[in-house]
Amino acid sequence: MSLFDILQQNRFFQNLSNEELNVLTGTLTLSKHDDGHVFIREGETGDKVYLLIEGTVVVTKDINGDEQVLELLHAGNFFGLLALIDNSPRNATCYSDGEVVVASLDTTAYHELTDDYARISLAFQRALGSQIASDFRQVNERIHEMLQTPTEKTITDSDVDVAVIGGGPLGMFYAMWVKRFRPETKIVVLERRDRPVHKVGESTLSTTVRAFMAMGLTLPMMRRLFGNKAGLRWFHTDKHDATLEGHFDIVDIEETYQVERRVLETAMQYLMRTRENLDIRTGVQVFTRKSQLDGDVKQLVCQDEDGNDFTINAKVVCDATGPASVLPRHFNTYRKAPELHNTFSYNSYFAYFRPKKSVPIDFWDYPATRHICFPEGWLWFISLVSWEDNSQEQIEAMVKHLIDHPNPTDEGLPTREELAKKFDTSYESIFSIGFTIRADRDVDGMSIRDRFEHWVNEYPAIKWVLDHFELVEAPYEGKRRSHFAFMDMLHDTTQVAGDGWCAIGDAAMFINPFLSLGLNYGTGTAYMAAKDTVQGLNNNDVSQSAFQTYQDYITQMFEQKVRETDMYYRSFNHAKSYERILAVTIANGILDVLPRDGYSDSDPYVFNPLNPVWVEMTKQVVQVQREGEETGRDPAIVADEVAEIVNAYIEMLRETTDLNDVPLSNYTRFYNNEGERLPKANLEKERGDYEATLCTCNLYFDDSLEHCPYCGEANLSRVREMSS
Amino acid sequence: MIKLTVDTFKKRFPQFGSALSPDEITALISLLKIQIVEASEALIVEGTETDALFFVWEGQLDVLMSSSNGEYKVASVEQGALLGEISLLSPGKTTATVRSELGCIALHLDTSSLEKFWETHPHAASVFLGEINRLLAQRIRSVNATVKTLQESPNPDTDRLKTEQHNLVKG
Repeated sequence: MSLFDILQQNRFFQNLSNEELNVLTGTLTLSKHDDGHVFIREGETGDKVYLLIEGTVVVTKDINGDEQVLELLHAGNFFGLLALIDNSPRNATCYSDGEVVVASLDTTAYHELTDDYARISLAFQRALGSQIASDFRQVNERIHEMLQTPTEKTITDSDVDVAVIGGGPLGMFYAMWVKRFRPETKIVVLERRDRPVHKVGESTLSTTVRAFMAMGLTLPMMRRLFGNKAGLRWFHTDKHDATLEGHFDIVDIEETYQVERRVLETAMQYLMRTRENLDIRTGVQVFTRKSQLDGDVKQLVCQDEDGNDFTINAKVVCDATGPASVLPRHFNTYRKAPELHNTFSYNSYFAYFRPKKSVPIDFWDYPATRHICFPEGWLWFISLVSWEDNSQEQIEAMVKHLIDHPNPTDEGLPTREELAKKFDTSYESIFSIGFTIRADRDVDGMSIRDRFEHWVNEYPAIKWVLDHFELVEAPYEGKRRSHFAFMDMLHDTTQVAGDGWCAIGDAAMFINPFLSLGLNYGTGTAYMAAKDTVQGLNNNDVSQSAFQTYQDYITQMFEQKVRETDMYYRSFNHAKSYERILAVTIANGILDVLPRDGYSDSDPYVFNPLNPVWVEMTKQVVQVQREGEETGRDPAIVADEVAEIVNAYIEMLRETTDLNDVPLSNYTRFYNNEGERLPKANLEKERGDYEATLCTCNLYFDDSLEHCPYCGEANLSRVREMSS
Repeated sequence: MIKLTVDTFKKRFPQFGSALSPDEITALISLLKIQIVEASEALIVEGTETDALFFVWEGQLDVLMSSSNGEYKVASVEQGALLGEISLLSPGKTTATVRSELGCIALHLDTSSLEKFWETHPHAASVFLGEINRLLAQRIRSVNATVKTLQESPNPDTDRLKTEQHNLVKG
């Protein structure tokens, strides 16, 4: 495009006459620059204004000692306009990203020109005014934030009813429910990090998504920020299998997401601050050893990021610190002893990958979490939308834009692509891929990466699938490596609550990532603990006995979930027992996971784990499996015995529950409504309560929408429907 | 009511008065409308769209931002001040409420009149706008510095924010 055309398309210059434009272009000097050329340096004065003709210019600013990218400029953008104000220092640095061509105008030439051409001068002043005013808006925005959270930076000692240690999703959920059930509660959340960062724990089930919605994160917002998850899929493989067998799925029930934690936590903290007026203090360390945690009032000794000490006095302290589990460790109730439960522990190794090419398996790209199971464990494939390449300021700006949008519907909100453009952010679809291995069958003496590679090489089918991916090296900020590990994960507490304290989520218990224990049942623990906390505060008694309902919930859930996961992992010994166990899980749980509204009392018990008959069945199955392993029996024979127990239970469910009324084949491609396995996948299955449709942008979205929430294209399946 | 002439305008708004010729001032004031603000009436309401520039002719107004504890006074402006220039240059919602405790008089210049002025008097318009830009650039530097001190300070003093803002708007 010519210089003339570029100017004519600029909104401030478009009204100039051809003569004026010709004069102006004649005064501008064109020049070409290599990558990294600094045109303007923050703080210095300058005498040139620039118009970018070709290439990209990066604008950065020093914010609290950090060089942060404010925006990227493209052809047609002006920069350096502050030179038009005498002696005004530049307020940002601008340098070329790759080769660029610019047109420049020095201020002497500008003044000579504008003496004769007032309209050209006006155009420049309008462009400059628009830029300063929008900068001013951003500064005002920051002042506004300071005013919205006056307590955040004002570090003072405080007396509160409840102090939550840990500002992650579960700490937020707990605080939300305490506030909603008892609005007068004074509550403070203390978060160690000054801003959310990457954490593992991406997969959600609909129960957690309903809790997000209760907080104010709507489906249209989540569609833009997170990767779609339309269900769960499993495969089984053996060492001699070159391909994946035993395909199994449960899909199309409700829309859920794979969440990138930094984005999620930014949104949750913002919602809780603005909508619930919650006091969240970030960058705060709590020293449990120095704190006074006995007695009616707990004194938490804290330190802010500047090293200032302060004390929080609270009646109840809730530990939402995840695996750090600070309160159970402090009170000596934390334990890591799988042998006590007659089971084994688990190790996980994972990394992030970019798809190189599509895996040639039917509907592989359908956005369900994929699991490949084998006798020592299983491998997960979680597709994520990663916004990692953006500054926290950009993430916050995007999240606020969605949350504060006057019309936060799919029609009103910008698409994901528009959002990224508006905030100059980028995103990428990547996969979290990881093994969870039974600790009793894992290998020793190898690096994390070697262990990961070991299990890849152990199974030809897994190696084949992974050949379709490439590793993302050091994908997350502050993590200077590609492979991550969590070892010996199973832990619980002999006591999850005491006088004036409770622990929730992974601080209370963790088994392993199968069936997404962390966020999903963690949400249930936040809910149950919040209920007991509120009742305790209302009765003016927050001693250990106030948390009895919560304690019973944790005890029962941990016992049963340990048994269930023990059963799953042992079932991976043989394709037949794997298939029967997954089938019975669906039969037992499906009535419980069909769509419903809001987060309610039954959600902490999602998938019906405490149904006494189901508990009895899992006990029987585990016993047969364990004896089989211990005596070295043929897994095929054990599988037959497992199938016998399972089939009898399914038969009983059919007789005693509404299972027969569930159109099972809408939710799986591998079973008919009678629960019989089909010889091959039913690719034309009826739609479930929810269905994802493929867009031309190659991503799946909710089929009931008119337009793709990512790129804005019309929904093809609807267009087809209307034309037929 | 009030006597709006080239001379009285120059006296009350010297920074514009000295940069524009008498003819240009005449053209500008012909577009201005007098607006009487009653005691405790809001001239600008936070979070709304506004399409006008206000020159404070007489009296005092408070600039208030909403905070978690209700309205927070960030500045006080008086005769000679200009209001609404950010919304004018960067369309969007207003970031503060401006209200007068005791009432005041302002001159109101709406966007369409200003657009007209840009067409008919490009030189005056560019000088006028240049002056606004200069003021804004100065102000944003000081506000940035204040925000920075506030963030770095372990015990931020919101009163200081108030004073700094006050000086800024006046300056």
